[in-house]
Amino acid sequence: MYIHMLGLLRKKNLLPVIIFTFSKRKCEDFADALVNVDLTSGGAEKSEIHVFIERSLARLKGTDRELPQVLRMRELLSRGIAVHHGGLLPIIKEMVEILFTRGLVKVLFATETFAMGVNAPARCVVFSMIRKHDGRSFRELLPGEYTQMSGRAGRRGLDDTGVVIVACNDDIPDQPTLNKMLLGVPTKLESQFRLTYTMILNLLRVEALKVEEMIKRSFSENLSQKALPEHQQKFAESSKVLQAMEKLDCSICGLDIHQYYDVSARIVMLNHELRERIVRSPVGSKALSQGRIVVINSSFYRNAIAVILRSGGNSSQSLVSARSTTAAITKREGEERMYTVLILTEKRPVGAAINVRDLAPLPVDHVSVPSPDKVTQEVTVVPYTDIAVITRMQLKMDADAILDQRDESETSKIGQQLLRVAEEMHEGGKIPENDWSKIRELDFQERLRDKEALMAQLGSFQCVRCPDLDDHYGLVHSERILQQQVADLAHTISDQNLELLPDYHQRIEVLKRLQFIDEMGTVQIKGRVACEAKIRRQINTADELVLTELILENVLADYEPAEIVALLSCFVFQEKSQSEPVLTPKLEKGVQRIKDIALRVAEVQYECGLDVRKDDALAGLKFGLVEVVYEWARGLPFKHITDLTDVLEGSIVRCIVRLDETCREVRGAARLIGDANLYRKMEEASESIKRDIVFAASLYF
Amino acid sequence: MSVKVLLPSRGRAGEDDMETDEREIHIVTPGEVLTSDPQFMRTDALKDVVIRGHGTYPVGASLAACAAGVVERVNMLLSVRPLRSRYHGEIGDVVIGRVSELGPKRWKVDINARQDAILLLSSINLPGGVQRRKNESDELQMRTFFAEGDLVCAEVQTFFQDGAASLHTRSIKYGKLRNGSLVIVPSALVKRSKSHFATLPSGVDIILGLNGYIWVSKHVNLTPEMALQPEGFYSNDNESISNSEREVIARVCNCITALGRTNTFITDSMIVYTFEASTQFSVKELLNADVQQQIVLEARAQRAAVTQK
Repeated sequence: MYIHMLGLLRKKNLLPVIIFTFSKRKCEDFADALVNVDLTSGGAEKSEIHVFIERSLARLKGTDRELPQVLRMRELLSRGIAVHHGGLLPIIKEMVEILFTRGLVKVLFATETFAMGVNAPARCVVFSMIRKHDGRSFRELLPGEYTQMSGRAGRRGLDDTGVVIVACNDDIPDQPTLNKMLLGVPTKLESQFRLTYTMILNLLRVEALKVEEMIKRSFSENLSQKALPEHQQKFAESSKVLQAMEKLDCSICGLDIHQYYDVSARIVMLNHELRERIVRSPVGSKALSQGRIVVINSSFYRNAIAVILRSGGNSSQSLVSARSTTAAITKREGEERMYTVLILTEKRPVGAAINVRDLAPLPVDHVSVPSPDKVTQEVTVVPYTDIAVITRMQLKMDADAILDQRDESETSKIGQQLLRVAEEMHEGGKIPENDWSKIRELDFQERLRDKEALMAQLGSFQCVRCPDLDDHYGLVHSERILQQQVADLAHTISDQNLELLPDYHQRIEVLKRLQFIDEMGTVQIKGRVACEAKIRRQINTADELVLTELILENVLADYEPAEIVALLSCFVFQEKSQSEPVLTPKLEKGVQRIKDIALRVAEVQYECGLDVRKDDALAGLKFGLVEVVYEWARGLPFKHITDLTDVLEGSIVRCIVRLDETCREVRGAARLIGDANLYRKMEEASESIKRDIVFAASLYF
Repeated sequence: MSVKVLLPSRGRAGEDDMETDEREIHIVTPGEVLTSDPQFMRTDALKDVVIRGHGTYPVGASLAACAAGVVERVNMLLSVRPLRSRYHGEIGDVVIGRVSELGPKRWKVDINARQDAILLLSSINLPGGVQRRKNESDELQMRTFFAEGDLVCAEVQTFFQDGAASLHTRSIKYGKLRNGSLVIVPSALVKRSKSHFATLPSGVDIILGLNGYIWVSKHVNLTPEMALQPEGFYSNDNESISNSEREVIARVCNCITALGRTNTFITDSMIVYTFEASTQFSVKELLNADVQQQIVLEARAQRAAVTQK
């Protein structure tokens, strides 16, 4: 396919071109498919390419020059074609980059990494696909990624415009997808700040810095810290208001109004929970049917007695049978259920609502009976949350007549009945609630019992005898709300509100348990050794801890330098490898010991509350390159190394280079603890891996 | 001519005299075999099972100490911490030192260690703000910042390859010291703790340098704005100190010397106890060995009483 495309681009003079392919293998495949295609323009270019390659490879040893990758790239480059991805040897990648910037490479099959970092724009950019695998899922390109890659098109000073082509083969992406990719919002900046053990230990070493300060300065706390001055101001204001509020000064109430408040608040909360369940249960909806007498408690109607006309709010809605099927109930679970009711209340000027303080959570234990001369009935719609009590009684009535407002007499008749019932209840002193024993859930019944017990307690409080109970109650209520506000604000502005703080405390606990720091938080020798190790793979692993334990358990003493560095490769190697390495029994034992230590550390972490599971800890250690590194350290040429595993050469080289770093860290740790043996071994190990193509000098310097 | 005769010091007063960390300690002398713990003797050669830490050497199949001190064990690491040795720094330590010489873009500071520490020009706060760029004139004017003989409070940032410490003074608390007096004690007596800067109730500031140099000075309230004042930060002039303040400073100094002589761990609380015990004597009397013994014993008793509560 690309043969034709290249022909086209050549004709249109759009070379050099970068073709972005998101898979290393596909890059190679595409390049291989271009047999017999020669894009260089004549002998001069060819000879220049040849000379450059010779000079670059001069620094390599004999056998390294015959590596399959090197030979392949020479062949491709001589025709003006190149490949660039993470599996290539670093020196080859540099060769490709330099030749490309010089314009000697006409077509480059590259992965995403070429778009970042290397200063190599081209005249044209082709996307061979717009979906990629990002390590977790196969997804479309994000707008930010697209912008970055397509921005490679057009060289400053050489091209007027840059061309971007999406080569979609047979599946042309649809417009919404393209829209999102081309015009979408780039990814928002998110904080990647994570607490690591090394960071915590380093901060504990230094007196001047506090970890909380560091956390506060991270980007993740940015939003909450920006709002900090605002919160502090509100806190100061609220505290002042709280101070200035008039305190309750009543001889009758003062004794136990606070307990009364607590009990009432609890009753109201229980009632609310009970009501939620009642409404959702079939027993409840059967009870809330036409004719049921209820007591309404809302901002408009205070302890008013009412009778349900029908469930549902809109009068134009068709009548919803109270015996709704379960399906209908579950469908309405998310909505607020409304009921049309006929309320008995006092005539009031329109628009008058009772003051806010009547919203104080006062349990309904009596019904307010309107005085006979002001009594009136109203038909209105209320949400179920306003229904305070569902009584045992039901009236026989003709709801349609009332709703259609056809029959005044019906309305007044029902009103009279309600008034009588209200007076009875008022005399009796309590409201007979419906029998809910049919609802079989255990916690419902428990709550019901609690509520009844608490309601029985209500009468025993002194403050109910106070005539101004309502006012005082309102006062206490507003005081309580303000107190809660102040406490919340205090918490928000305090250090305790940092999101990462619980994580920090858990990690400190882990460090204390493993004796990296002592009880006072002073760093011990183990902690200092851990600070030497700067490895970091993934976030939740505790590599530095495992390595420290490894060193201090003297595990490495039995092994030769080559074996040590092979075992340490599990800390740096990150990729999956299909092939299982073949290890000597000694190495196997070493691998097992490392796994044991990692498990132990993971367990301590788990006990302290960190979200670390044992399989995570083990899966994080990848032993795929142990054999390779062992053979390399023993002197095997690179050509034979690649036969041992399916991991790409580039990854091997990267791993070994990082291993050299690790060796240096372990050497530093050995000097710290005074282990001369280990120091010497790490020095030897470093020397044994630092050779040939793996450590070939960079072409840029 | 009157001659002052001191009573012979009462000698070691038993176990109360030894400073310990309330752990079981195992003291060894050079040549002693370190342990015959069966747990260690898994193989025939002790030296192959444990890690030979500092202060040990292999002799035959076992491990012997080559320093006089306390045995420390962490996992498989056996080492001997010498009772008295030169200060060995760690990263993050607060130290006090005296500038001994100037070099190109750096000062050499004596901190009572095996080697002089290095204070780089790039590690100090130049007057005029934290972000000020260095220029050549700064290098030529290094003596205006620190001259030979100045006392500096700094923090160990890192170590050079040869083991010399590299210091920095990048905080308002560090820098040139004035208005006070220096006391030198054995470095082992100053333990690492949360904070090495303290203000005593008697109204003096102390800085406990982990290298054994302790600075006692008149109390100053530090504010962040002070770092921006160019003249104040590196000035060589003391403020005016009254006679009573001088006396208090001198008394505290003598108390610290007393603690050092009697091999007591030096913390701010211990200094306070010693100070209180010393009020019955005049400042000059505190230089006598038996007076020092007495006040230290009283201070230790008080500390024991407080920790028991």
